[in-house]
Amino acid sequence: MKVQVRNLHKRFGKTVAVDNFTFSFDNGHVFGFVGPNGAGKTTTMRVIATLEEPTAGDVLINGVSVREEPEYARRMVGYVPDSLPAHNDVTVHEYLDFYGRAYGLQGAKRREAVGAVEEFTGVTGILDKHLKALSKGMKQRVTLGRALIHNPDVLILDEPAAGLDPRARVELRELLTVLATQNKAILISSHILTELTEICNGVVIVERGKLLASGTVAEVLKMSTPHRAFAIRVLGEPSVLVKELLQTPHVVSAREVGGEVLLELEGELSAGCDLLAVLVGKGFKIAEFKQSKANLEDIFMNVTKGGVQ
Amino acid sequence: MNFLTLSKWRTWEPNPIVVKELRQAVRSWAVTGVLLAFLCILFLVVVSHLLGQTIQSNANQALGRDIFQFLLPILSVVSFSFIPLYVGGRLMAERQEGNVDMLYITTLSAARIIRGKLLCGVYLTVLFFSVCAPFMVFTNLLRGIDLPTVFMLLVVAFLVSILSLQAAIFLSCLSTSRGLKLLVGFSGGGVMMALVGLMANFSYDLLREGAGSRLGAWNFWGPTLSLFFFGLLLFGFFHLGAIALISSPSANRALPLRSYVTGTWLVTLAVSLVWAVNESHTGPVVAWAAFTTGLLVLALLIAIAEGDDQSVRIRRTIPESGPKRALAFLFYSGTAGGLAWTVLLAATTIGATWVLTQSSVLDSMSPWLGGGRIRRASIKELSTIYLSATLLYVFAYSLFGLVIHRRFLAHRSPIVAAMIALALAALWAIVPNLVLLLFNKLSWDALQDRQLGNVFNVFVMTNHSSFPYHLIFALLLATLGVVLNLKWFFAQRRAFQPLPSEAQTVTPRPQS
Ligand SMILES: Nc1ncnc2c1ncn2[C@@H]1O[C@H](COP(=O)(O)OP(=O)(O)OP(=O)(O)O)[C@@H](O)[C@H]1O
Ligand SMILES: [Mg+2]
Repeated sequence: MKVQVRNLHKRFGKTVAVDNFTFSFDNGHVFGFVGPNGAGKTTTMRVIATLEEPTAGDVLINGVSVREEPEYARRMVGYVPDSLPAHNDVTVHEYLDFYGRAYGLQGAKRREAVGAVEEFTGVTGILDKHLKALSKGMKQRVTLGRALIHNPDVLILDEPAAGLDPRARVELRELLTVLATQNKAILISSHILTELTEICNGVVIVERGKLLASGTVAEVLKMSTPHRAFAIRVLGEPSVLVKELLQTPHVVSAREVGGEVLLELEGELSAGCDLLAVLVGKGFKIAEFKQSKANLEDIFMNVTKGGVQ
Repeated sequence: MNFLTLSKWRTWEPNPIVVKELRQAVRSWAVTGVLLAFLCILFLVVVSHLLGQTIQSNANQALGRDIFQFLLPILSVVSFSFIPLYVGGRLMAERQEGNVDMLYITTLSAARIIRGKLLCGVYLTVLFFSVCAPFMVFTNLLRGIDLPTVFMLLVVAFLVSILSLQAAIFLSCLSTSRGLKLLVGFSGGGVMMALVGLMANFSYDLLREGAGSRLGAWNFWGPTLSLFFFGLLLFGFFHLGAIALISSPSANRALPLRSYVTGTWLVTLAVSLVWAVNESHTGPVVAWAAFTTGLLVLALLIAIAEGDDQSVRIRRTIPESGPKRALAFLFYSGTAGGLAWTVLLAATTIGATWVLTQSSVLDSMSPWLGGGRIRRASIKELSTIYLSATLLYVFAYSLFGLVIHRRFLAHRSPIVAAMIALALAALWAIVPNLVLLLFNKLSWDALQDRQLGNVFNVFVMTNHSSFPYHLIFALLLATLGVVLNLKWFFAQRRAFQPLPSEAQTVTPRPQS
């Protein structure tokens, strides 16, 4: 595993911001980090980025402890904080160039890296603008560029999409998708879950300093909703189908919603196929039979409310 | 510089911090504004003097000197206070919690950051000096001033400004509350003003008599070089201290600093001995003891702010063998070791001072070093008592600070222990006098009277026969502190062990 968070604790005076977080994610994973305000997301990310010392526990990045060897660990991490720089005495190019130097890139190598990052984040048109004069989306791009300049394996993004307009969001999402294909391990926090659904293949859910669930979307889904949900459109009276379904084994619940029958089923996907065969065999005219896909929002609502009702 | 570094000159790159800071300084209104104002003031000073001269009937024989005496304090104010404030202020802002620049998670080393900040300040200082230079050369065309003196004074002013710059960088690396920062800022400002005053005074003397006549004499070079030397050592302390402050907490931050202070301690002792014999006077030894005491008080506060936790990274380097481990205990990060180290150094200092000022040790060394009979310093044996009382008090406050922190505020950062120690010292000095004030009994005499437990009282007390009381009281306090901390200390000493071998593999150290 690329990033392993192990029994992480962080206290600020009496506030317990992070209480025993343990999760991990790997190369090529894009993990969404979700939780209500004050859940401890920013704190965790700052610890991973070696900005904050954990009170207890540790984070290993490629096996290097952020607690013991922060100087080594930070070579492998790019961090985009939730607030943006606004200098009025530094231009975009100078800013990125400085970080190139700060990460020890020299001469032609640095010019190349800075150029590549400028191109990738699409800031080539505004290189001579002062940071203060940039729009939020542009600043976000510059900050992302800054985090990418040393080509880190691990990318930590704290609410990168907050305050961006729809177009900027789509563009950011595209950038992240490209980064994921470059085999980076990415952790991204956001309050807009629909947005995460499209790019994340994993999720970490926290609430008030406690870790509620973590893993790939499929794993968390299985954990949070042990039942599979299906929607059936049938020719004829749906209430007959509902009655029939409620007597079928493995069906947990069935109800009619807007002409469709929604049901929850125990077991694997094959249980759905079996059910379909049974229903067809009993003479029901099935027009549509589909598994309703759970998105992050559903998972989040389930997990933070304490499981399925 | 070896061949390898020489061959690398083509790929040499300037310190990134310098590049960034200078870029921003050039665009900053603060720097440009002050530079312009500075230029205008210099111009006005010169023009007004020249105009004044034209109305006077008899020619001023020392016009150059008069103008110079105006220019130098202006230059000192800017270079002793504005530049350190500017550089320190920026650093402090960067160190703030919410800072978005993430400078400290790049792979720049702490040493490089501090060096970059310092270099940037040095460049700015050079800039202001070079703006001033034409005016100063101009004064040389007028009368009453000679070139060596101008040169001498400029060098001194430059060195002092570099020292205050480094001190400001050190202070801005301290992560403390805003209140303490203000306090430090104000006292720092006081010191700066005092330095400007000293500088003006020094220049006044030197200009009157001219530097040229003194350049051959030991009684000029001796003190000058010694002062320079002490300044250099102080500079080194601030420099290493600043680096330690911004290094990651898991690093062995105390090691370079304590090694440096120990080295300084030895070297300054040697220098002061040579001095004492050359001057036939114990004064230099006493001065050395006072300097060391100051340094130890600082080192003590730093030690108790270090905390007890030893990171895996430090423990990995603890030697196996007993004697080596004991030595490492004294020098490695950690409050207990720091305390032991300070106690050892303090005891040796007091012992050495006592031996060297009381007995005829120096006398017997004197012929060997080529000197004559040694005279005693006028404050004689008192100096030892002064310094012992001071050190004992500071130890006592620190030990109480540790106890209070451990008992009641264990979940807070260990820096709190140092703050408690400082607060204790301040309270003990203020509260009794406040009570006196309430009863309308506060007077200058009362302040100079014996106030046991108040470390500052040691220095203002006029009745020297009370010193033993101070000493005894401080000793009692310190003993109480030691008793309260004994159990903790030995637990720490026992815990100072190398990492068990199976734990070594938890974090593989990456190659490169
Ligand atoms: N520097 C600090 N000092 C004191 N308390 C802090 C500090 N930083 C965070 N906290 C506290 O820690 C808890 C977690 O904060 P954190 O910023 O990690 O939450 P978050 O999940 O990022 O919230 P949001 O969604 O609002 O960004 C909060 O209760 C916060 O008040
Ligand atoms: Mg946050």
